[in-house]
Formats: sequence, C-alpha cells, structure tokens
Amino acid sequence: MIPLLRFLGGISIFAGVFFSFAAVVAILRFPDVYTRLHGGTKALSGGAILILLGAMPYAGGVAGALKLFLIAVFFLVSNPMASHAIARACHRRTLANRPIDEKRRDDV
Amino acid sequence: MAVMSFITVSLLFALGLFTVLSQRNVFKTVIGLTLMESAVLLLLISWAYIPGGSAPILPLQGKGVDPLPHSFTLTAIVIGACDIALAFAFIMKLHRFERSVNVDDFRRLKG
Amino acid sequence: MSEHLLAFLYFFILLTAFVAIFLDDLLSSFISLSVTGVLMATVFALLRAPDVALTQAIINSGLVTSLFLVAYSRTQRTPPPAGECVECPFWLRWPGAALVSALFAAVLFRGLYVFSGERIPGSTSAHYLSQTLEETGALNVVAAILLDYRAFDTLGETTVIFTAVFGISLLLSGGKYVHSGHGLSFIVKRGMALLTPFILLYAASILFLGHLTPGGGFQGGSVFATAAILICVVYGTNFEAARISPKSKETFEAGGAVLFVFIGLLGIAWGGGFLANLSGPFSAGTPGSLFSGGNMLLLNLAVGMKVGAGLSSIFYTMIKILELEDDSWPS
Repeated sequence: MIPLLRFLGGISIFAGVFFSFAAVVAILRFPDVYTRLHGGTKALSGGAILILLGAMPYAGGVAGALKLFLIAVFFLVSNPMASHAIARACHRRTLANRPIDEKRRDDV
Repeated sequence: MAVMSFITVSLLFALGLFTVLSQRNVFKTVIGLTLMESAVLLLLISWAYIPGGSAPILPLQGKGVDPLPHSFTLTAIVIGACDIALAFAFIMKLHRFERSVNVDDFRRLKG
Repeated sequence: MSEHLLAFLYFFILLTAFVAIFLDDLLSSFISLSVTGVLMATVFALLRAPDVALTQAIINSGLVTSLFLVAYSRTQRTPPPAGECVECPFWLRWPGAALVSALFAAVLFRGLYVFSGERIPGSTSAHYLSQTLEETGALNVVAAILLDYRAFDTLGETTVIFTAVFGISLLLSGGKYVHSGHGLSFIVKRGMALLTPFILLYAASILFLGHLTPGGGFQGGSVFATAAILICVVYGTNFEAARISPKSKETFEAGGAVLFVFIGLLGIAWGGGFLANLSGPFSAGTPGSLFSGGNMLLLNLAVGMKVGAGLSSIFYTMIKILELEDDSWPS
C-alpha cells in the first residue's frame, strides 16, 4: 500500500514541478497583466498544492500528512483571493490591457 | 561544506557593502544593509551546524547542533527588522522635506 | 543533508541578491530581496535551525516587505527630481566601491578560512544540550537559552523593540488621519473573515508551545502582527483602528514589558535572583506537557505581546501617514 502511495506521490510531485515550470514560462512570455496573472497563479494552485499532496506519503505518519493537507487547503483558499485582489486593483487603475514592455525606471 | 558557506557569506557581505557604497538611492542602501545582515545570520547558523547533527529539540537523536548561535540569530533577526522599519520611517520623513529619495539631493545635510 | 542542495540554494541566494542590487525597478528588487529571505529560511531549516527558519520566514521576508511597500508607495506618489549627480557619476563611483568590497570579501574569507576545520562545540553549548531538561524542564533548547539562561538579553531586546516603536511614532506623529480606504472587494473580505480565526489559532499555537516545539514569543507575536496587518490592508485602516485601537496596542505592549519585569522580580522575592526560574517560585512540571518549563510559558506570552503589538503599531503608524492627503502631512 505504502509503495503504491509513494509512487502516486512521485507522479503528483512531477506534475507539480511541470505546473511551476509552465507558470514561469507564462510569466515570461505572456503580454499583459491578466494573462500573466492567469499563468502566475498556476504556480501556487497547480504547482504547490500538487507538490504538497505528493509529499504526503513521505511525511512519515498520519499527523505529518494531515499537516501538509491543511497547508494545501490554506493555499486553495488564499490564492484565488490574492489573485482576485491583484486583478481588481489592475482593473481599477486601468492597467489591464496595456502591455508591460515599457520599462519603468526609478531614480537609481 | 564549511568552506562553501564561508564563500557565500563573504560574497553576500561584499555585495551588501558594494550596494551601500555605490548606489545613491536610499532604498538601495536599505537593501544593502539587509544583505549584510543576512550574511551575518548565515555565518552564525552555518558555523553552528555540525555534520550529522540534529535540531536542538529534546530528546536528541544522536548529537545535536550548537544551540547557542541559534538564540543569538533569533535576537538579531527581530532587532534587524526594527532597524529597517526605523530606516523606512526616516526615508519617509526625508522624502517629505526633500521630495527625493536620492542621497545626492540631500544637500542640506552637507556641511 | 545533501551538499548539492545546499550549493544550489547558496547559488540562488547570491543570484537573487545580485538581481536585487542591479535592477532599476525598486519594486522588483525588493520582491527579489524577499525571495532571498525565503531561500535563507530554507537554508536555515536544512542546517537544523527550525526556530531561526521560522523567524526568518515570517519577519524578514513577510513583515519587512510589507513595510517596504508602505514606504515605497509613500515616496513614489510625487515623482522625485531626476538627475544624475554631477560631481560623482556612477561610472566613477562603482570601480572604487567594487575594489573596496572585493578586498573586504577576500580579507573576510581569509579570516573565516581558519575556522573551516573540524568543529567542536564549546563547553557552554554542551552544557546547554545535556542539562536543559533538568535545569529548566523545557524541550526546546533554543527557547530555554533565550528565556532562562539568557533571559536578561531578551529583556534588553524587547527594550530595543520599544525604542524602535517609540522612534517611528515620534517621527511620523502629529497628524490625525482623515479618511481611510474602504478596503478590498467583497470576495477578499469574506475570504479573510474565513481565514482569520485559523491564522490567530496558528499564532497562538506557535506562541504557547514555544518551550516544546520550534517557535516562541518572537515568532508567535510576529504572526499576530501579520494578522493585524492583513486586516489593515483588507478592511481598511479605520476598521482595524476601530477593532484594535492604537491605545489598546500600546497597553498590550506595555503590559508585555511589565509582565516580563514582574516575573523577574518574583524570582528576587523568592530569593533566587532576577528572572530565576526553577530556583524561584516555579516548578518544572512534566516534561512535554503544556505547563512545564517553569516561567517559560509566561515569558513567551510577555515577549509575544511585546513583539506583536510593537510590529503591528509600527505598520499602523506608517500606513496611517500613507492615507493622509499630501497637504495635511505632519511636518
């Protein structure tokens, strides 16, 4: 039972790493705020949660696995909230469809 | 292992020092101070580590790492955060008077 | 512990520090610095220092970044006068700085290289590791050092926090804020209402189990301050000030200090010296239970009150200034 669970956990961790990689590519390649946000949230809701679920069989005992599960639930609740707040702030400031290519320079 | 940590500490401290010396934005100066503080914390913690040691929570499995630098580091982190908060307050106040965050614009501080 | 993983993390620490220095955009460079903080916390956890890793993750990469965001948005509202310094341009400045820091790094590494041999912990550390359970009754050795063996240092540190709060309030005081933001949208407010009890419960568990597991007053107090900051951002400043008034924060902070000193004086009254633990009026209890370790639970509570109230009132003072109109800013 445990080896099977560990195998499934390994597959889940691999999928999580793939999601994180896809998020990095999305943030680098997408043109404007909304699409980048769409890609960037995948790093947490896809990547981190899958990695946490995949780490559960390796946690050593039911208590450790439950802790990891609770962290995953916390991410599941908090991440949509945060990305919603960012998207709404961008909408308010009408930054939405402007491409982010022009470089903002501070006084350095 | 120890040599690797020492190289990282030296480079991190030098990066912070370089920032403080060369950059003219006061926020960058704060970044440099933070980097130097991080280097000192990393030095203490990597110095406390003993290969094969376990965390200083009783009961120990095998031998434990040195707990004394850990407590120093804990103190240093909190005090460093207070320092940085005070620096930000000073920056906000300076910006109120000088309308700038560039050190070169703070002419009135020159004698 | 894998050395390759450690080398990888060290490389990324240096890389993010480099990026934080040389980026033109201040916002990005501070985000990069907070990534450095998270990587440092990971390294601390790998080097078997769970207490320090927790503190680093909460304070250096959470609280400091939020304070930076406040200061940044305050100073960027009016654009600074652009202009390179005429007397000393950057290309003239950086070779000297680079030379000095490279020399410093070389000297520092040469000095540290002496210590790279076999590391033997001193007799003090060995004493702490072997005698903590008998002498204090606590399981977390770091907490025992902070709150029993070297509790006087901790008292001095809380004084430093008080001084920082005092200085910031003094610098930024003088104005009554006129209006506050209405907070974020309905969805975020409801979600935050759902999460707040759990955040507070987590903070309390860190605080009160500090003598048994990694954690303690500093970390628990910082999580309490984080909860207050989140409420401040999500619901608006007025809401936070109405729920937890600045006066009650002051009371909490002073109460923490008074509690700490009172516990210390209790030791003197029992004939054991200032901050005496087991030689004073406290008993060790059963090791591993909540009421063990003598006065450590109460001292954790005192430090937590002090740190939580202090950091949240620092943030409140700074963001209160942010929401002022530009003309009515106190000078």
